[in-house]
Amino acid sequence: MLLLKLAAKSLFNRKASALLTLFTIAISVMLLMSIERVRIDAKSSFSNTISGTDLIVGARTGDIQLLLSSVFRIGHANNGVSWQSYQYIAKQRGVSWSIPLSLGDSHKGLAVLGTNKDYFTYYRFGKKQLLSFANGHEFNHLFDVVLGADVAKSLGYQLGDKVVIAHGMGNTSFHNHDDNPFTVVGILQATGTPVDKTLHIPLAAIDEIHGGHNHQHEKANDHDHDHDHDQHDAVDLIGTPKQITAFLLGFDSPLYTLQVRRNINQYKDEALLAIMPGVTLRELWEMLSIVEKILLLFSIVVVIISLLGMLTSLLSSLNQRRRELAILRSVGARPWHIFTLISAESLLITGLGCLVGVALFYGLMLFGAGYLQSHAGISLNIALLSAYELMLLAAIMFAGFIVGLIPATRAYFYSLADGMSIKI
Amino acid sequence: MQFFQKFIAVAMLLSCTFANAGKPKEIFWEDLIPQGHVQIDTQAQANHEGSEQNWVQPDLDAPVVKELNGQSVSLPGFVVPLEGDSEVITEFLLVPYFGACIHVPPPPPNQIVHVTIEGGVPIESLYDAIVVTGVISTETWSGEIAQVGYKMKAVGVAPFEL
Repeated sequence: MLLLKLAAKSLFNRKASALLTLFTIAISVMLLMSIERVRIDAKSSFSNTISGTDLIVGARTGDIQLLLSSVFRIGHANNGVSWQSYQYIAKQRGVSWSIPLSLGDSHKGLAVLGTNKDYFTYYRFGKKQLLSFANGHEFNHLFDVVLGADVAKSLGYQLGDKVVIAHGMGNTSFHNHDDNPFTVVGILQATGTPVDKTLHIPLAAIDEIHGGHNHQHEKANDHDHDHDHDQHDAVDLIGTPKQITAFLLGFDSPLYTLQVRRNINQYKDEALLAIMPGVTLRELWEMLSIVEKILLLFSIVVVIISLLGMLTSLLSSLNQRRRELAILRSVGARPWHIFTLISAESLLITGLGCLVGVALFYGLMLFGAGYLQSHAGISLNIALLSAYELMLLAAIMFAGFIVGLIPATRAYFYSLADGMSIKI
Repeated sequence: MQFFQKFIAVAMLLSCTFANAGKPKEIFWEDLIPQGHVQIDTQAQANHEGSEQNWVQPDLDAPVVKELNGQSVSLPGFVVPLEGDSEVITEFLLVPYFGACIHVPPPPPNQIVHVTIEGGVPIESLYDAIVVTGVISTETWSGEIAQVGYKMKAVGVAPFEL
């Protein structure tokens, strides 16, 4: 205990270099922890996004492309599924439910999804959780919109507000349809998935904002408002879309999945692709695992470099401290006391470095969580350190201790005379 | 880490084996087909050009072996994941050959087992065969007509070794 106190005092005496070493370690610890936390949370928020869906069907493209564009709203599909094919497949034996998805429009950079009411009944995320409403209810009219939690929060929308939906993706559109404002009728509970950043409108309304009906309107101008009103009041929320982006399928039993998947992939009338979300997510992990490993490797290398920095500063300070060590020996300290003193110093620096590093890590997480959520859709879990993270910290502490043994051993072998006599 | 997880999986398997005080019956895929039933060889059906039939109804009429219901068995196979999180798989289809879902027609329904496992199991690679131990049951569910297939509540998963 006394030795630890001595070590702390001695360190304090050399506070400039000790602090710098400490910060190097702290920053490397922060880097390692942040990379690991983001990696793990990114993975879990991806796999939490879809659950309970047996097949995702879209136009033929890559498996991962289809998964990313249909569920995660990353990238976009280049082609759609014809409405006829969707209806044919959705009617097949064994299909218990189907959800059509129509993407490609946006509201202030947030995705607009055209779908049917089944979306609110059957779409599941996380561990087979259903969507629930924080406020309001599902859409019942053509120009009703249901908002994801983040949409409502970041844009400050309330029930009853009017929302204008633009055609196309991006923040602005030169083709705003001010004539078709949507009314907010529901706000969903936060899910931590891309659903939070989505505006849900009836499938038929997608056609409407694309001006499918305006076209008819121009041709028969004298047909005027009555016709228009009829359409708006109709409870037909599906309409007759020509094509949709993708659809989700659920079966009575998962045993149907393999057969139906094969049938869809071999479907002659249209080039379609059916994927099983679980399998494709696995493929995605396998593809990304090399990137993960490289990231981990780099952050470990940074930790090693910081420990080597500590080694350098301890070793170089030993020369300046010959006097100090000799005085300690002369007042009765044994060589192993000196040894313990130097190792205690290295442990102290690493330990404090880890503590400061963890504090910096939490600071960074708090600071970056909002940004990551809104820009990458990764919901960070600002929780206590996991067992894995504690293990990482313990490993760093241990490495710091091992590194500290080198200067400690050298100091051990300095004899009393070494510091007392002045060398030429 | 992964070795550790594998070790846990094996340990789980072992501990439950001892708990049941009896070895689960080792079965193979042939045992899932009732004796005397002439099964169409799915491998022979393999057709890379796409079949002439445009839409094959999911044929779930293949009979199951009723006697297996409720038995504790261990069965080797390949995993087609259905549910799970980033670490573990909690629900999967067990199939007799790898790639059952890609190049060749899927196996008939009595050659697929729908496995659920409490707490999930980490599966490193879908290319590796595994042995699943658990209680197998013949599941009946009703769609347009009542259907039947195999379901298993797994208690342990271990890597398959010859």
